[in-house]
Amino acid sequence: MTTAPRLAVVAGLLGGLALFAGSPYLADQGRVNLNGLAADIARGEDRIEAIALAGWIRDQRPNLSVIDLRSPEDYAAFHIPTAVVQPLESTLGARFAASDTIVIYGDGSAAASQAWVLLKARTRAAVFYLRGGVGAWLDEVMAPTIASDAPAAERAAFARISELSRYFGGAPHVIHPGDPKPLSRASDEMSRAETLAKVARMMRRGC
Amino acid sequence: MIAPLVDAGVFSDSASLLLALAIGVAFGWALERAGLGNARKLMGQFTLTDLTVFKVMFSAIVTAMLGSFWLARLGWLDLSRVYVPDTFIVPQILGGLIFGAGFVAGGLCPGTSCVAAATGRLDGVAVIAGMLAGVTGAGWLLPRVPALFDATPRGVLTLPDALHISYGAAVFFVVVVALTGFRAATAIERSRR
Repeated sequence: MTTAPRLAVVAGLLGGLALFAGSPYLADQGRVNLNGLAADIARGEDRIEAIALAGWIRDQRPNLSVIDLRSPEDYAAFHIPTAVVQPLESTLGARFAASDTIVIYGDGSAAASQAWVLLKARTRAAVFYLRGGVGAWLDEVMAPTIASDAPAAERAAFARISELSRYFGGAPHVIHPGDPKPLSRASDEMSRAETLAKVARMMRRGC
Repeated sequence: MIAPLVDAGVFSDSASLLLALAIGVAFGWALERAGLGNARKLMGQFTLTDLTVFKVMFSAIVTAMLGSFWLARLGWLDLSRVYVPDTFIVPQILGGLIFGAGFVAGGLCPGTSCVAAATGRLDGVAVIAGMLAGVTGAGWLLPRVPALFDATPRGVLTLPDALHISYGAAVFFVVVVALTGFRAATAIERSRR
């Protein structure tokens, strides 16, 4: 037997055995690639900004799931469009395909970033947490601001953000000298009470 | 330690680039050894007289697929961290047709044109120049026609997800197609001689 037929037999054997080998994904084997998780965190590939998520939702990114990890009451008060409310325990038990993209969010970043680690250990899908949570969405998508004397590059970027904001019913506005200072912006450490206060303010203003 | 090794800090970014260069040179050497730096040999693919391109490329696909599947199954490779580009059906079909037209017209594809140029063939240099002009033109044009650039997005699409079969079944399917294809290619070559 020459080399080519031998290699064909080896390929056939390895291909046939693959039928019974089970999933090649580490998550399905109950294993965790800690170096991979650390690399994702170091590169900032564990999180997504609110504006980028808004773009994904508007453009109907294929296989995108947005999951609200907060309570059903908080979800009912306000949630990001297309999001479903699902506690972390159920999310960890759900089965996702490798082609899925999952974005999880909470009030700030702390709980969602912890959930990101757990979810990455359980699924082979692409997973991100929303940096700043609901508060970031309210600030950056529903009420983006820019100073009237901002440089041209910033104004051009703001024009694109404003278009996205209006798509979601937001109210972008320009801050002129002498205007009252804007309310505090969302932070990674935002609490539930702060988020609910932000939601209430937005509801009063109307969206 | 689980591959990709760059995540584990085994390689620095510059070392990764050097490694990529070494792999690229090895790939070019293999292409040249298979005779694929010669446009006449590649044209045999389209006249069905020499199906070396099909055999070499499908051999590479099957080797890489079996290697990555079994390395992952043994826990040495984190398959979820291997980059798979997004699928956009219409623009990729259009790009494939343009690529195919260039392949037939020039007798070389991007990899083989580099090999041809490295061995001093002027047609290889001409194809590389055309390829760079095409890349530059597409880079200028596509952001101006986002309706085409972003049309029919399907996200990350792999055979197991698209066919709703297990990964192992997809591996087996591709191996069967390849082995059947090799046998058919040899029979076609014999009948055309």
